Amino acid sequence: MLFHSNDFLHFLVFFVLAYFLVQWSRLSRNAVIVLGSYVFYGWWDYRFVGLLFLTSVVDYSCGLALGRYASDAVRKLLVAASVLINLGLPATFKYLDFFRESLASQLALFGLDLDWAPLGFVLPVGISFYTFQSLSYVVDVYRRVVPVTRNLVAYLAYVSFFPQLVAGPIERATRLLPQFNQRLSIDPGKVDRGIWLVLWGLFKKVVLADNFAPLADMAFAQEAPGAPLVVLGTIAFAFQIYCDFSAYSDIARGLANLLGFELMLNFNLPYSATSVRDFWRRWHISLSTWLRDYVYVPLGGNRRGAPRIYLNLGVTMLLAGLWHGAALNFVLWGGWHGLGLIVNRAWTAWGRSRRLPAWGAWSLTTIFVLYGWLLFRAGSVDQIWQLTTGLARWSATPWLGPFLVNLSVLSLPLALMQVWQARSGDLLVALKLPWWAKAMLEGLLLLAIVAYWEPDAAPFIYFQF
Amino acid sequence: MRSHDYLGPAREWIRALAAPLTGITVLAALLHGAQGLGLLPPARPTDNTDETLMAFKGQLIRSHHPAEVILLGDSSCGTGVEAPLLRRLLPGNPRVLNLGLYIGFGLDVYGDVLSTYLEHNPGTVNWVVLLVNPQFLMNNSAAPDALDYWQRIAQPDRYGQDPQRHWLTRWSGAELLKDRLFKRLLPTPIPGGGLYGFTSGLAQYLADHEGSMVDVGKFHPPAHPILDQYTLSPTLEKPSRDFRRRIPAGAKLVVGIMPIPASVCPPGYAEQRDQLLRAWNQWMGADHVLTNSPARMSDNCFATRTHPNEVGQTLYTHQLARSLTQALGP
Repeated sequence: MLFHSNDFLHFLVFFVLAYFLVQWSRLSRNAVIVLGSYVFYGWWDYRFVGLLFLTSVVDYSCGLALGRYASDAVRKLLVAASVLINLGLPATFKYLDFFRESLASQLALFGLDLDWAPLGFVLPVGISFYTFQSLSYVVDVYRRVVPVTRNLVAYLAYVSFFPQLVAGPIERATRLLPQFNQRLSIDPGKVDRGIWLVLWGLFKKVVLADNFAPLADMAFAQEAPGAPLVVLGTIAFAFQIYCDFSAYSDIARGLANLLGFELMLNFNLPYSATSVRDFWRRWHISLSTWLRDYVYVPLGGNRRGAPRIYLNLGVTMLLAGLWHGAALNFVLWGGWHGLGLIVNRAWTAWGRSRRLPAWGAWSLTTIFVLYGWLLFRAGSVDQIWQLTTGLARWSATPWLGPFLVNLSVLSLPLALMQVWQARSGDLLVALKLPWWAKAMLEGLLLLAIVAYWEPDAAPFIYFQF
Repeated sequence: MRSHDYLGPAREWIRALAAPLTGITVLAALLHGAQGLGLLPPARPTDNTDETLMAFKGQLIRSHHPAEVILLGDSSCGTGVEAPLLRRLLPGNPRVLNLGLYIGFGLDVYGDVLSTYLEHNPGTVNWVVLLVNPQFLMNNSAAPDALDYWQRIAQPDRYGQDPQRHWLTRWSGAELLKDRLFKRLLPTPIPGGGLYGFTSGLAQYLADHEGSMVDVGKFHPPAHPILDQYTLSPTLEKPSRDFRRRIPAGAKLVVGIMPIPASVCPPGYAEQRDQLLRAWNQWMGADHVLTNSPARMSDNCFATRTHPNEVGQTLYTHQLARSLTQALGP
């Protein structure tokens, strides 16, 4: 069920009504959340509801066992089991065919012809998100950062909470799980925030992202594009993926607010970053912090000297690339950002007194990030080569003019909002407007959403990861 | 234990919930008011290439745009004949206008196009050339509401009155905002870009080429091509006679069937094509049927099974010019 679909609107009406009716019991509230979330998830494909339940129950049980056993060996075994299940599941769906094909092609070099038909697994939507979220609970219990929860319904609700189930933010048990055991308050301020986030999110998805998409598609569909189209097409994709993904997070946070919950911020004006490190503090924050806490730090983090730090950064970012899927361009994208973080770190260590001016740092970072998006969006290594060499070719497509007009017009509302947010230092600055001004702004967003609402809604990009 | 509380004064709740609804209501009132006062520009149907083509030709036939030769028919006509080139090739260089539309529209729509054009450009037309794909004669492609659909797109005042549209888009003024304002700001991309890039590029091409467009691409015949067997449907008789009655006095009617790719030509097709033309002409009563134009062209002249590409368009336009000159004299 997509947030920007008629089905979801109908679902939400029923859910909010049921939610209102169970305000006298936390158990009932959590049960309604679980039921609603499983219906939400099963609407896409009921066959994978069992996987969601399995992950939740396995990790809940691991948590209970971790609370019971003091032996370090046993505790590590329990964490290993959780890791196996939580990483094994998405890995199977995402990578098994890739590895089978790779193995078959390697063996074919030695004359061994394995006629393996692809298994053709359908990737369960959201599996990369909810498995990470559930796994983090087990690791945090192991680390004694989070107490063991003995409330199965609350835990099921924590893993399956529908606003963030399918595309994040990837929450932590320290933040979200306690909320299911608390008495929540829903006040006009929260509702105001929730409505704003939902409207701004829907606007970014329905009006902006879904109109940036055809521009990016056009540019990347050309056989030998020249530099202008490569650059503009990459910018279109950069805006598309940002609007699409941050929209989901905004809608998730907004819906959560309307139910009295708080979800973490996932995007903080990433295209205003002045270094690669800064970019990763602003982009998909829930994943970058997850990787930092559960991959980078266990590998050694910032300890053990510069070469080891660089290795840890490289490995972590390669895994970030692989998280997106078993395709070489994702790995290259992850590697590119790993390289960027390494260079950033080395520069910081070496050139403490050699700071770039802010505009220079921003420009370099933006160019770096844009090239990363070129790697991410390209359909193959051949296309990466084609597009990269295209940057040195100044050939103009006849329709470059309207392309630029289209891109500029679409970018304008996004740019205005982002500049406003950056200058005020407040992502929710719109809520500080006088009531009448806020009403008109929200009305305009709503009007544009209605104008561009499609019955056959395009899914969010991150549903495929 | 209580789960959650709804706090705060009712007034604040109402303010929070009412804000976007108030905003959209005010904007809806402003938009409808502006529409009522005639302050909004006309709608611009540009959602896709089909709408763009129809809107352009709808506007063209309602403008003063005199021409001596009018081309009518389906998309094989629209893509198969280059109007400015035909003008240069015909003796006397008469003005040529290509009003080719789609196979799904049928003769009643083509007749409506012609009648509307003649209303705004009386006494100019000498030749009406009707060109269709052989599939057209089977009369199994025309949609039942084609005329209504054509008139809705072609007339800006009627655009947006699609009964399929949700009531909310009408009530809120969203369709006014999108059709009359946003579409003017945002050129609509054509998937893959192609030659035109955006529907605005297509509209410009149509304007520069007197209504002709070109389909880029390469026809790839299937490994086992299905060879269509073309027949003349009896249901075409009434629409054909009705269409004939719309030809203005003093103008000549020429009817032809566009060529098809050689690889999908059934055996004996050329003779069959001529027989079909003559049989159809029993109803059309044309002054000339184009049995002296090619029935087939090589595959590399086509972008699709029914649309010539740029090479095919140039080739066919030359052949059409010769056929017309031979048939009708200078």
